[in-house]
Amino acid sequence: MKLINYLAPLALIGVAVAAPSDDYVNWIRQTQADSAVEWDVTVAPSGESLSEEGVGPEGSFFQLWSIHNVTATEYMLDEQYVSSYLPTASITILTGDPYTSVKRTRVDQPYSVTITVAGLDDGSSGLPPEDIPEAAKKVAFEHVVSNYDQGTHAPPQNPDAPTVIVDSYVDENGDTEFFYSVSNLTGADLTQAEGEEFFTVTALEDFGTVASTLDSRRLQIWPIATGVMSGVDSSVRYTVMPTITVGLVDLYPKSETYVRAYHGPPASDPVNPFLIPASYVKIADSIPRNRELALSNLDELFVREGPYTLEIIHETPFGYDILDQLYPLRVDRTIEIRSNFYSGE
Amino acid sequence: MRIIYPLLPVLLLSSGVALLIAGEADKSEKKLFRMRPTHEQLQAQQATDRAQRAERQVDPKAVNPVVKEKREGPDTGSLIKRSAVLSSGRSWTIVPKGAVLHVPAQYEKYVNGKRAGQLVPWQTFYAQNRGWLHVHPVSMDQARGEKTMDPKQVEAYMGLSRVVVSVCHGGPISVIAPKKEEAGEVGEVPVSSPAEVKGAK
Repeated sequence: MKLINYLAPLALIGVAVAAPSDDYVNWIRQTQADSAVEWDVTVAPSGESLSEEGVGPEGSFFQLWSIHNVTATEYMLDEQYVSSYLPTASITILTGDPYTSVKRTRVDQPYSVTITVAGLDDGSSGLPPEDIPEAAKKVAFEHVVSNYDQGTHAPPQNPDAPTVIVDSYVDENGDTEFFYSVSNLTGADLTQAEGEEFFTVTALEDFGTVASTLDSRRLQIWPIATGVMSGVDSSVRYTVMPTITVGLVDLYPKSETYVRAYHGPPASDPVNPFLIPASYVKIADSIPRNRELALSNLDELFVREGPYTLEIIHETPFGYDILDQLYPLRVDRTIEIRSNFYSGE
Repeated sequence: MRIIYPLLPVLLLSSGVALLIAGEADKSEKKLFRMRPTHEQLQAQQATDRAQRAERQVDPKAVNPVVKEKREGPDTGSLIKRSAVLSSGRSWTIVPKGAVLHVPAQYEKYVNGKRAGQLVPWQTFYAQNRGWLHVHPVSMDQARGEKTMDPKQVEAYMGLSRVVVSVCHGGPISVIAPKKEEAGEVGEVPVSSPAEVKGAK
């Protein structure tokens, strides 16, 4: 049961009305709604008093009285109903990445946030809505995002004010689920945006108490990797395979990346694709990583003549992305002999 | 469960939904390769999300309408009439009805009798009249009649020949007679109730 500093505002009302004179004696009487037990705290004309008892399962009424010490003239200065409530909340974030140390996902991926709230006054007190304290009816939910500087993979030392995505209330017990089809980060190129999204559920200020955080969660957002192949001239027919340079940036912290090749033009379901072993990169880390590769001595892999397609494949918990596609890589090992035949007689 | 945002944008990302449910790509199924998304695609998806958030914003007033009878509070006409008056002749105070547990015959005139002198806070009155007043601390459970008082303590204060007032953390508190099943052997504890205090004004 929540013990609330509910008497403070009542006492302050007493200050406003009865403070000018010591001729008045102030009383605060608590009456429990269910048991009708009454309990007194005598208060000075100014100051605060703290109730040390619970308000009862069905709440309590608090009346502030000021009584003249000679004439016994009574004034009820204020009456408030206080229910015993203690909102609780927890936040659960679901992403496609099962990594447990920090909740994380990629900027283009969907995720959901579930807020589980309990302890709000859902009408069980029997009070009309206007008599239920706001703090008993709802909790605040805030969702903000903060970008990292590109490529830093960490919060900036002097971050800008976060961008507010949702600033609202949850006003019923149970689960409330928020779906996001992509991240809410900002940036000139969203595919390279990285940062954090924060979710916070807060109990409202009430009866002189400050707002308190009930739960707060962070979701780390990483960019989509980029990959570039170079060193191949599509207009050239190679009799000897060139060295192919592969530049990989922001490989997802849990990923496998490689170059695959297959004969023929780009296809969604290529026949007999093969992996270039030297291109294989596995990342199991907490932040994105970069790699530079030089693929050489490839002649044994490209035995068939003709045009090839090369693709950089990036496997993550979210699926298979083609980071770069190169076509055609022409392999032509036919030796052409250009000569004149002379015959002398 | 209340779903704030529609599933549509998520359903559009078919592979994403599967991953949200499964947690990780099912490698046993046929691999689906896709081109890296572009900035424009993500921007468009964010715009769709924003628009649907705005459309689906729940009006807090529309949720959970509570239409019930207003709970009646205690009487607001007079606190004194809802109280037991203790008066020494020089000063007087009030305590909740039901907080006076025992009144010896010789002090009956001090309880709910004629008010004389100035009204003073309970603490002041108790300090001035310790000679004939005794406070008996009770827990909230005892005040609510959910627990019985120790019969030895009851016997002790009954023998003090003083007016006994129940207090909780220093403040006078009314005590409800325990229910019979709770009371057991001490069901006859001489706990007063508002109706039992004679001459209540």
